[in-house]
Amino acid sequence: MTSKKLLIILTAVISLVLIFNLFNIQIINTWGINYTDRITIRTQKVKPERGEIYDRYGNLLVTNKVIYNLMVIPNELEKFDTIKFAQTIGISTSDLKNQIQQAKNYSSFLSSEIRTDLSDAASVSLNEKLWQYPGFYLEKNLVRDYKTTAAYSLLGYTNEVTQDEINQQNSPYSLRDHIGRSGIEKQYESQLKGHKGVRYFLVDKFNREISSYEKGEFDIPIEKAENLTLTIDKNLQQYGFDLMNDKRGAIVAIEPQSGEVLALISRPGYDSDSLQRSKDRKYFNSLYNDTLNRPFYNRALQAEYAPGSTFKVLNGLIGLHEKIVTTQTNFTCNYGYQYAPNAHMACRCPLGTRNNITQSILKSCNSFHAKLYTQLIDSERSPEIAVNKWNHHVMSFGMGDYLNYDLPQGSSGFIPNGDYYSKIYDDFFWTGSSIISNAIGQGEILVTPMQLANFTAAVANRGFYYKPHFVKKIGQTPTQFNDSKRITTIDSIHFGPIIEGMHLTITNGTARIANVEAIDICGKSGTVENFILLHGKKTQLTDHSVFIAFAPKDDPKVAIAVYVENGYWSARWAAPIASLMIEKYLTGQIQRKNLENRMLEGSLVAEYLKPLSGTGFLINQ
Amino acid sequence: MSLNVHLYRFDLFSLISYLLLLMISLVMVHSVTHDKVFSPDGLSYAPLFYKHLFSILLALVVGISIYLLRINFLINYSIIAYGIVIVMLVGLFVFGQSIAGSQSWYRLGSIGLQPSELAKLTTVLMVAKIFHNSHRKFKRKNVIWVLGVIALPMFLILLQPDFGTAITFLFLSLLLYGEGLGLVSYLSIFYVGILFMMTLVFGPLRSTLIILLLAYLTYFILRRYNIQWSRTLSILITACSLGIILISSFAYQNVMESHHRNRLEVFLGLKKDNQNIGYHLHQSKMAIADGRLLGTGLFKGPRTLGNFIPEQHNDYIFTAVAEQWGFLGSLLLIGLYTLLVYRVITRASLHRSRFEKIFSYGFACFLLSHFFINIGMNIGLVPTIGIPLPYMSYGGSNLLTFTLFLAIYLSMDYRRLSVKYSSTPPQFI
Repeated sequence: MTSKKLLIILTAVISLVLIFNLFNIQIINTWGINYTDRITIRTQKVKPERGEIYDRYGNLLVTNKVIYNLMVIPNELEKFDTIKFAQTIGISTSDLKNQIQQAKNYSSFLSSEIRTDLSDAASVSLNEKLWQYPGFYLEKNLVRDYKTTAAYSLLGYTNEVTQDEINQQNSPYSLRDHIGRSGIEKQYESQLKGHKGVRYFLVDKFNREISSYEKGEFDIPIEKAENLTLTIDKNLQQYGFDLMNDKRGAIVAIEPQSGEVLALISRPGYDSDSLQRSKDRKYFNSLYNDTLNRPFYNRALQAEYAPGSTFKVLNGLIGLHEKIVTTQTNFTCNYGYQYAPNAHMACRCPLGTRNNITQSILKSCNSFHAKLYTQLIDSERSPEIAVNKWNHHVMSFGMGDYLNYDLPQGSSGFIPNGDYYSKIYDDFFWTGSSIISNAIGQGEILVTPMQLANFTAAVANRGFYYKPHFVKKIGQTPTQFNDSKRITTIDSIHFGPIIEGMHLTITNGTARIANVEAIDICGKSGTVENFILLHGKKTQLTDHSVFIAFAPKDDPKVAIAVYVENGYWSARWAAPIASLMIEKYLTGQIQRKNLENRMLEGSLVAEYLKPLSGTGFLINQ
Repeated sequence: MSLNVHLYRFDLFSLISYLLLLMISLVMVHSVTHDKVFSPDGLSYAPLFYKHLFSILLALVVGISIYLLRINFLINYSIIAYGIVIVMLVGLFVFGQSIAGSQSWYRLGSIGLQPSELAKLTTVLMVAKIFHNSHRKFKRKNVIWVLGVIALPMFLILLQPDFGTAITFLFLSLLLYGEGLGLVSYLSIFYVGILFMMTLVFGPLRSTLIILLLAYLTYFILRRYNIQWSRTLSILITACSLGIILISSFAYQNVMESHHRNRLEVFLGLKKDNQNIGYHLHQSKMAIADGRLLGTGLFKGPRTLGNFIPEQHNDYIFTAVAEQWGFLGSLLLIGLYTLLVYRVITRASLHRSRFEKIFSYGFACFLLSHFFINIGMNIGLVPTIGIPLPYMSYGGSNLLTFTLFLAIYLSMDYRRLSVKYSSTPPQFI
């Protein structure tokens, strides 16, 4: 057989198959019923409303609202009075002309936006006049309605999908749909958006619906969006947001018994509502280009800080567990500790003070913890082994770990291990005293405020924590976190003396300002030295103010970490803020009005401007 | 020479079929678009007819210019043309514009160019060139070259991903029939196809069991007839089959795009349609069914007017013909294509030079595959893979490519008698 024959046979077979099939469909018509003479089919896309978000008590946080966009189809435009129209819609004439030209450049036949986000009232009055201006029309769109401006750091924001996202294969999005860009809105996008449905129905020539098409066989059912119930306490969130006014930093509050996050504040931040207006890139750019305040930088989840003296809590626990110290052990402190020739770590304890572990926490004694730490590191055959052991204990509290909570942002922080130091100190014989800063949370250790709060919750629970999470219920089904309980490597008996020390810190110790009558608060202060690179020079800035706390002592309901950048000592900002948050959450009202006012009105803006002044400046004033 | 001689040598029949198809196409694109200002997607329909008219005129002008070229020119420059198109295909991954999920277009203002269409032409030229170079001694090495030349653009097009266009390149392997690839090779390809389908329908595990069972039976049958090497042969075939099942289930899950998977699965009845795939086919079939014998009349098709069939001016233009002109119209269209393909095949076989012959066969292969797959997918015989109907569908790149095919074919056909080594008297049909 030649190619010619093969091809001819193939052609003949194909034509006959096609003709046979067409004959079957068109003449014998075994196929479907003929609707054609009477009726036509219409399709309708049914879009579910985006799910609402509630706080832990059922208070509404986010719902949807209608906005109107003024649209133009350039091809349908007729001559009109641009000056008058520009006044009507409240923009300048040149802006209007520009916008129309841009719309033309985009497409003459497609509609483009002229003004977005018209309020209800404006749209009603505009709608009455629009008939004079063919080519313009109002389009309704649903956007998010944020009932609180304090919760952006966990809610995130939405805005319109981009063309690329629409073009993706099997993309569920179409023009002007909103998509979550950050926070809960992004993490729970699939639950919040629901699924669009498609309906096919028959209409008669007057466009009246007769029935569904083929009994709905081809319909795609709409799937309603799920409402979310968060673990957040709306009031506490708002209160924390207010307390952090004009300050940089973060607050994270967690319920230790469940790992539910009660409040997550990061400041400075942004306004979710302004961000969702699609064409309003100005606001986005102003935030994006603000490299000083970095509003998109979620300090509660992403910022990696040194934990400072708050880390002494963990240092003490490891010391007790590894039997480096017992509750009877006393170390002497003489305004500090000469741990090597020419190397002195200062402390506030007067000459000849003898501290046990509880006192070391309440006085925040550097010497005690430095001695404990050097003994711990030097207790093994080699410092690597000891550091690895220490690292294992620290990591068991969730530090150096992303924690796997249900938000799309985060940092792991950093907990060094033996290899790390072996590499740094290459061929140098290093011991515990080489890395002594770790004892007081100043060395290479970096943690996020979230990790700090989680660690506090683990201490409050005396040795275990639940994975922090933000969503309590999806629709009506409670979220399941089966694998969420994590047990730390420290035996629970060792927590007693440390927690006693944390309690005394509030009553007699470094953070007496945080004392609240009728609530047994346990806390630990921290004052963190910090440096930046300014004009190529390592420059010290005012200390960070840090505080961790939980309450009540015996039945902890809330664990909290507060980090105020450049706030100087702990009791100045962080400790009062933490105690006010606890008081607010546990009693619902604030007795110490003076303190509250000082926190609400206090501003650190002057402090933040210092490095920018260009001249020398004094720190820790 | 007198006009008569010119007409005698010229394949007027093909040209007339082509022009007829273009006229039908213009009428149909107009009927699909004339009363619609906007499609549901917000795309403007109004300028489509004029754009189509423009691309037809452009194709005619380019076609006539190509017709005037000497054949030697094509022989000499086919490698360069092939190279340019391959570079264009690669460039798509950087500069290409993505439409409906595949990155297949270059766009300059409102003009789009689809290099995968041009690749059809240059690939055929290249294959013809390989045959031309090898003259009478066509060896196994050349077979591999030809397969490589076909596979390269096919692979690049698969990556876009444009599964449908890539499939049509498979039809070019028909060119190798009788030139190095025997019936066994085609049967093997067919067998691979069947195994692929089987893997989809029954799943890899059950397919494996079926193959093992068949192998067991075959072995006994072979042994019964005392065929040599029966055991080795059946083990070999079984091993190959299992390998193919493994590869196809892997390729299906990882290489094919999800919308192709969906279409295939809906087509095979494996999956309930929940993404609008069946609706498209249902509407298309309904429109064709509405045509009955004589059709609803031009500009009167309710489904055409009602804008029920997405992309009707494009891949589904056949439904407009079938609805408005009925079975007779479909018959006319199929008749035109069949005769055109038949004409090309028979006149191609008269060529003495291999370049001309293989090129014309290649043209016939592409025409046949497009015509079959497009109409087949309109009536639900073939899964929806987005292949246009040559000379009918809206879309400049495809029209240009097939016009060039025809122009070169006509030019070769006209010059067949003046080729100097042609000594035998011409045969006519």
